[in-house]
Amino acid sequence: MTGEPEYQAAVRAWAARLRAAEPVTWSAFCASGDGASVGARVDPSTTLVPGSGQLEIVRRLAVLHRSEGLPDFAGLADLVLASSGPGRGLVDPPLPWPGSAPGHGPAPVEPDLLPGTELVRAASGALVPLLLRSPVAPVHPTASSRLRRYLPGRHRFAVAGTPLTAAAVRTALLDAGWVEGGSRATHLVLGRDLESMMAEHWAARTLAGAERRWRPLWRRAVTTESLPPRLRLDEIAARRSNEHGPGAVHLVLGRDAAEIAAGVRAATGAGISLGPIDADVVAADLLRRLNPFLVLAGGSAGRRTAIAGPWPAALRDARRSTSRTALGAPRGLLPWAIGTADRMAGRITGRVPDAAAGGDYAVHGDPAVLVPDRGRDVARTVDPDDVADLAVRMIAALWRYEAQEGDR
Amino acid sequence: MARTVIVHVGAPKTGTSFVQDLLFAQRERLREHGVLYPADRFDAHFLAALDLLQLPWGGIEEEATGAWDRLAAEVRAWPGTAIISHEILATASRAQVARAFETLRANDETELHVVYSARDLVRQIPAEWQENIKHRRETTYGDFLAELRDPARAEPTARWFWAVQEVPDVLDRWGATLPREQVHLVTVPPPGAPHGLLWQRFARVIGLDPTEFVPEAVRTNASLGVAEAALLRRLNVRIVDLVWNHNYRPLVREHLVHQNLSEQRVSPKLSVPPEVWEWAEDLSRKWVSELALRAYDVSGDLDDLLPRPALPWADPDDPDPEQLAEAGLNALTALTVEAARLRDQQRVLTDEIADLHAELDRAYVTPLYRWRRSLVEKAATNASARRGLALYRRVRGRNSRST
Repeated sequence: MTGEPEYQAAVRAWAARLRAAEPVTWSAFCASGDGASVGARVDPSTTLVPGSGQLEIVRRLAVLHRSEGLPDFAGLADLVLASSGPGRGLVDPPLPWPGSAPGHGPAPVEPDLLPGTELVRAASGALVPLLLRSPVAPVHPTASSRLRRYLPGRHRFAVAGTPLTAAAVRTALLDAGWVEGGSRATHLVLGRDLESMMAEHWAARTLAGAERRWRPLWRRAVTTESLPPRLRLDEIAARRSNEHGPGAVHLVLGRDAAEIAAGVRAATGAGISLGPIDADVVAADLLRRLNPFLVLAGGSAGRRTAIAGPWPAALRDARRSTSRTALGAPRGLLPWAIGTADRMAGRITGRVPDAAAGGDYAVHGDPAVLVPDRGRDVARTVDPDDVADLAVRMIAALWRYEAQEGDR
Repeated sequence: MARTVIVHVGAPKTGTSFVQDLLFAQRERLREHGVLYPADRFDAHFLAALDLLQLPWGGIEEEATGAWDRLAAEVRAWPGTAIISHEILATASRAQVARAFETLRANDETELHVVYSARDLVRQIPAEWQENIKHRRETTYGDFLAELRDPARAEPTARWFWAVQEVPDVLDRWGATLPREQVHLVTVPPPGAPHGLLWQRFARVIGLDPTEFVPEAVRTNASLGVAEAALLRRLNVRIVDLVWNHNYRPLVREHLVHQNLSEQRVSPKLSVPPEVWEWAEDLSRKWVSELALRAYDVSGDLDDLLPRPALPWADPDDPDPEQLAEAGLNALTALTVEAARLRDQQRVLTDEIADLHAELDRAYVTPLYRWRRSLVEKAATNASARRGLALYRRVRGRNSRST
């Protein structure tokens, strides 16, 4: 069927319409009867018919172009249409074509009805090269910030615990003039409810290159009956207390950024405030899918460079609001999460203060906040359609950077 | 410049390892005959295929970065015939095929040939399921068969299976832009065919004399029996979250499966249930009819793709308890012996480390060293000694070994 000249001409004609930034769907295009007339103007020397996933990504970009405007849309369309979806999936599923008998190969599917996972795969074919060749430079610590840690007389701190919260507190304290590290540092071990901490852990792991999905991340914790080391807050606090003395260690717990900031203020006296801290789980899911493709195309070093610069910039631009999908423990695993968090809260509450032996630490906030709320309305999996939507917006953002660089 | 480039694109479980081993082992002799098999390691074409297809593979993909372009450059620079072979190439999309051809062509004179080897579905289906469970999967055989028959191919296992095994579709993707006579289909002979017949069929399409290039040691992927496969799948369910791939590969896939369970099969070979046999036979007949119309160069007989009468059906989702227990004991024995071997190896290494430490200590027994060591010991209880030690370390730097 995909070998029929009429079919190929019609697909090329539709591709030409999309390339001209007309976001018409395949079914509407076929219904309009435009295929034959436009097909005549399409270069027939091109034997390759674009994939349905790539065509749908271009159509979605055309929708975005109408509202936001994208530079050199035809160039962007060419980039996407020439790409191939990396990884495993349906190989070249055809578009529905009237009168064609069912043959071999994947079943025909309307491109706008392709599963989200297939669209993410198609988008990845363009996202990977855009990330690897992006002109956005990685952000490195400035020389003055590196020098600052050696200045005497500064307040010093160290952070541990749930990673994104720890990163936000680190930034706030550095902005407040504190210095990270040193033997006399105030140690802050930071924690939230277990579901949020796992989401933060997942997001941090994907930034470091992990490919693991949300459910297997939990399944491993359940099977091994142990949380990831950075989330074993009571163990971290006790160990640091043994190493640095009980007065140096503060376990700060809170439901949200405001409560965490209050705890940090109480522990350090630093007048900090924090913006919302929520793991972007949709971005984490996109990145865990992209990670192996980035390594394949650019090696580990290429992936690290892409994640240090272009990724956060494009993500910021692709996200219109700061509201995030809350992701809870996968279906069936919430009781385990509640039990595990409850036991950790109990250990923190019932710890034996023994300043001489170490192992004690100050606690700011209620340990009960660690326990997930059974009634909270959260998603249990990441919706692949949300991931596909983000991928399209990231392509647009990265394409803009290239165009801006070209204008210079 | 290469005049002829032959790309062998699969399918898996059709003797591809055998062909690749032979070509790799005899690549120097092939060169003398003007044939290039461009590989400096046995998995070079696998890495190149991963790169072309942008296909992650359990972490090995980092070694694949740029591998296809390097391979293609070698091919373009060769003045004679070049052969590339890997079975995962069967999954290439049309865009990937176009890129492969574009990079392999040195000029307009280059003649490209595609070779695809195929075996009947009734043998391929259980073989693919076994490959799946040898790669940590937990899918039951019943679910696997249902996924294959789902027209939407919604599950990843079905997508992969049809991407590599659907003969007319694979040849459509790889052969659409080539003259029919440059598309070669090698059929795997039915069970009981004369030994060496498959190699003769391959040798003909890649232009080698089968009597001159004779297989030496051959790597075989021995198959598991029904009970062994059932045992492995159940083992996966229990260990997949506990044993990472870098340990699973040597311990389970290599040691347990390849070196033990498949060598000590106690149960019948895996087949398909009668209703799946009928469905596969019907599908195969459609394929054979269509392939006959396409006029590809067939090495063998298209009827080889029709299933032979089914083997007696034994369900791996409900294995014979005695056979399962026997396979379990075999597995326990194999892994216990391996654990003992590793413990012995650990003891040897521990002893070696102790010897090296003793040697190092002897080297350190000098007056100055003894003085520094006594200073360290005193520093635990004496504040002046502690300050002195701190001063010494600051002057000396952080690389001081034990003092």
